[in-house]
Amino acid sequence: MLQLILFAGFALMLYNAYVGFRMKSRVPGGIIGERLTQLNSFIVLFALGYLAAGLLTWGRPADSLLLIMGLILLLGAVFVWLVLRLVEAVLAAVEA
Amino acid sequence: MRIYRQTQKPLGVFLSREQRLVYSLCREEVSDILLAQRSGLALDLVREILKQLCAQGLVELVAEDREAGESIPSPLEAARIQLREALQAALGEQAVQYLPELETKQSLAELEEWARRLLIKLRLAISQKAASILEAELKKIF
Repeated sequence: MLQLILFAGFALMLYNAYVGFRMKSRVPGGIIGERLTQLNSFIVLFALGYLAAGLLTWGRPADSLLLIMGLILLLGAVFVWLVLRLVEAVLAAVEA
Repeated sequence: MRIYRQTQKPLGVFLSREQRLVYSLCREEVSDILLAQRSGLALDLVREILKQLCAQGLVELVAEDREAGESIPSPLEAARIQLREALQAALGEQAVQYLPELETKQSLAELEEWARRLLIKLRLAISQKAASILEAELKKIF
């Protein structure tokens, strides 16, 4: 169960990284362009963190503490996805 | 506005009453507008007479000002020119992609709105430095 949650978080962070880098290629500079560079670096770092957490907890019995940690990580990935959606919407409004 | 005066050529041809009047008023340097006022003739007629007198070598053109309408661009055109220069200063060669849209704006308000939107776009997605340069120019223009 824990590995499933961590894998879902990792997959979502990979998708976030793809969306973030694709968006960065459309935005060369400005406030959003600069922040996207930082945001993408953190997305990559967190994605590696999800992978590391999955490997370190591999085979361990899933206690409630680990499950809560896994859920927090998954919701963190959802949060990043929502932020990227927001940035994308702002860009679409600006470019319209 | 054009300024005329008589030449040294002796008056050896027959002139109509209006031509003679205009010719005599050209003893000193005088503009076509003033000639029309002094002679009481229409400006177009005065200009036509002056053209004929010039062709006969009796008066000569001393100076010429461009028409007011030609020399002073409309506020929209002036703003458009300034904005074009501001964009080129802010974006360099990249400004070319915005110029066609700039030319389509039909009123000053429309042009200003477009410029403000472009400023936001620059600030958010292209370059903060270019946005600052453009913002300073927009304050001068609008």
